[in-house]
Amino acid sequence: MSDLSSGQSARLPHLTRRGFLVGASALTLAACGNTQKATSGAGSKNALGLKLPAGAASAGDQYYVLPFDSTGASYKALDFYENVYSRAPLADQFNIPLVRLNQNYQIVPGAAGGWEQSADKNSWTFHLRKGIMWSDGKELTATDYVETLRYSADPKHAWDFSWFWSGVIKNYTDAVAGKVPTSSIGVKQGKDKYTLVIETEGPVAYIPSACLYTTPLSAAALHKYGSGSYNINPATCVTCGPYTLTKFDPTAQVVLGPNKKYTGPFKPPIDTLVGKIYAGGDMLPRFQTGQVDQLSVTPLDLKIAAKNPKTKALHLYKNPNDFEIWYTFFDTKKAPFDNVKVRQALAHSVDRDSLIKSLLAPLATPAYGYLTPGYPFAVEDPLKPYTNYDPAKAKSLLAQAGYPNGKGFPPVKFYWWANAVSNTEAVVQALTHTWNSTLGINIQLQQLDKTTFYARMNKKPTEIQMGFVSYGMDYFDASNMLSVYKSDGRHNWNNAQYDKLLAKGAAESKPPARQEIYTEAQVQLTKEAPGVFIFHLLYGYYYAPYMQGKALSKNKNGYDGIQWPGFGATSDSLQGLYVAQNKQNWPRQKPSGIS
Amino acid sequence: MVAYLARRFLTLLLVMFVVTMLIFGLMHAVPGGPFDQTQQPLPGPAMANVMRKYGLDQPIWRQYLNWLWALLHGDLGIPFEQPTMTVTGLIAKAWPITLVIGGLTILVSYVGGLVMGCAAALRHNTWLDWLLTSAVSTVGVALPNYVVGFLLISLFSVKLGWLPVGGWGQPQDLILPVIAFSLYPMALMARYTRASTLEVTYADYVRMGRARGLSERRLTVRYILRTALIPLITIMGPNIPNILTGSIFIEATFALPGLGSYFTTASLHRDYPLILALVLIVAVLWGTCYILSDVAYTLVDPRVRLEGLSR
Repeated sequence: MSDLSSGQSARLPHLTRRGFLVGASALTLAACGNTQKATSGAGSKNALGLKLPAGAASAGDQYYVLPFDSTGASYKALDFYENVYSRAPLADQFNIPLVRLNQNYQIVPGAAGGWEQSADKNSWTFHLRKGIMWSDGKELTATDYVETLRYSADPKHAWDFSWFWSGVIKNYTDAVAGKVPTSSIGVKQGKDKYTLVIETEGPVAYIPSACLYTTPLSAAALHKYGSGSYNINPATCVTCGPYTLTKFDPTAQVVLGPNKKYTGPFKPPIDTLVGKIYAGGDMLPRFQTGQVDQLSVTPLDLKIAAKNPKTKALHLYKNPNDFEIWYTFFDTKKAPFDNVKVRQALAHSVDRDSLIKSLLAPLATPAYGYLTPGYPFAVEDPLKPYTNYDPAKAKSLLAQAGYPNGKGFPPVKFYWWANAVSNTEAVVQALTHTWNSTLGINIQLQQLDKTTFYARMNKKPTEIQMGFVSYGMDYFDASNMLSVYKSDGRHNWNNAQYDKLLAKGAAESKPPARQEIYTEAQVQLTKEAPGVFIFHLLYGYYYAPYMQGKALSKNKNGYDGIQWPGFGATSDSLQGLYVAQNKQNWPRQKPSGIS
Repeated sequence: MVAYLARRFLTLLLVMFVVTMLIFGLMHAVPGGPFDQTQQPLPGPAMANVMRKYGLDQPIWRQYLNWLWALLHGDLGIPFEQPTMTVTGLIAKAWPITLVIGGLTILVSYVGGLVMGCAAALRHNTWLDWLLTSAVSTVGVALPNYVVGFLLISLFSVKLGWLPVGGWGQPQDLILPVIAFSLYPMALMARYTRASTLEVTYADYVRMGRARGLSERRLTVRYILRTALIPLITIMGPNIPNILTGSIFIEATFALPGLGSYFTTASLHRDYPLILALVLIVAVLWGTCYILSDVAYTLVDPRVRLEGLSR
């Protein structure tokens, strides 16, 4: 922590007027002196021995400062298998998952050079690259993955993401429940220490995609320290990734420096990563003054930035990140939403294109179905007949449901929680106005705090009759997003036919056949309208002009900027980003505590 | 005096006990728990593991007694949101930052407010009075501190580039947050000081003193200011706990890793041990400040007697 926290520097000297002026001048100079101009480093090598590309700044300037807003967040760990929902900034950098994701959302080799499904389709075998070393001198082997997954199933560990492998890896559900030992889960070493076998509960086609989340802990360190928390202490951090922990302060800053013992296949040009943690506040000035190298922007930021000559010239990078959809859900077990025609009437009353144009552009696209265009197996055109804007049809459907012109329709509470990124307040107000005015019904808005909202939504039976909520993917396959609506899932719409399609899709290995199954499932979901799908969120980013590289370029879907799952071990963006020479004199402040 | 203080502190202990019991009940009564997931609720067995790990599977009365017993042993528990720290460690790390900002704010605002208020009262109905009370004080009271913060950042950080936009670790980081945080209490202080000073200025005993030939300087320092301080103590007392526990807006605006933000995040996350610790801090500070205010009255004006003290 700083000197100030010890109270020493806080004792300010007695100030005369002259002293004040001298001091103020000195402070001004000191503040201005922080701004840096990167010098050329093309051809020279960074701390990991990687030759820097043409146009790159010198090795000393190859640091990347990312801002994180800790409002509503808490940071407990840096490793996926220690804690998922409360991972700190720059998490998952100390290890290499079996597979990685490239810019075009394709699964590519990570620690595993190759993999295949068994003939009976009940297991997958991954072949690890040889010679990837942990910083404690041990080699990365199948044992690290086996021990990590066993740790995740341990009831004493009480891992917050254990649902992810439940029902997927053999015996995993029973191990979490304490019914069988964790050693009996279907993860084991194959014919040698470089072969890992994952046995599944049945045929599971999407295992390689789910294995993006196989960022292992070191088996030796896990045994030595008893939990994965060893990685939040620089003295005990064990890494096989290109970075190691330098500083962990979950309320202010996380700093990762180069792991000079790194032997893995993916060398990044950037030597040092800094996660600046802010408890709220306006991020734009922090970006404008060079405190951070990148900024996630809201629609409001865009309006402000457009008025500033420097920021308005910046390129706005846009991508769907975790392919988040925002939608209205219903309690389909109770009137009036137990009637499919009522739900369909609401779906046809929303003019998504106008709504997005007036409230969310350019950071959203209309949602005619649950899956964002570009997401695996997503379709759009076959769904439009069920979600297109057609007020006359909507009125007719409502009349068929027994509520002509809204007559007899009971008053309904529409619950929501505020979210600035998604501008939810404006959206729910527009939706309510549209429904009430188009259909003559009485929907009343009711805001809740986020925790209360989700607690009430997740209650069985649910305590929310109608609500506005989002969902973002956990892994890159239709089986993940579409499972939100399977019976006894997040919402109380039960449909055996839909469940059957999801099970069939998860087991099917051939992509064309899977596409057919998931198209049918999407049509079924959209037609039955257990929710009204409103928009797919796009995340907007600004990067300081000196941030360059392939990682920021457009992918095959037209999305650009660093995409899901972010800058780190699980994606190939790590090698594709560097700090270029600062030709535009964009201000840049080197954070304290990095060399 | 000692007996009086002892009695007040015993009352304070009782109040704290009642407050923590109430808060404990209330925080368990609101919907949503500390380990509820938003995207994907945990399956039953997994949630049972989590609840067992944190002792939340026990009856609420036992959880409270466990917490109370630990507290009596000086243990405030483990924050659910940062289980690698203790609540005591977390507070020990964050509070000094808030105290530095708060202490400087108290110094700047109270000294500045007193000087401004006195100057305005002693030169009332002049341009100086108008400037200090109407312009500075009204603006200070009317503008929320986060708005002041944004304005200061826009001018001194973004436009002029003189001072940091936020952060913690160097002396210049203190300047803008202290100014932004001080403006409201300073304006308040100035207005109250002016009003009470003006009131005393026209009191009979001051006129009497003037008639007896006492110098204006002696009258101002010994009679006017001293008496004017009494209502100010009433204003100052309750303000101090607010300032010393931090402002979430100031800390967020200037990226200060202080205690302020925990007051909201702990509630939002249902972080029970942290909520209880923060409630304790606030209760102790409020209680102590009220006691100290009462003692301060007697120091400023010997005619004031503390209840229960022998006359």
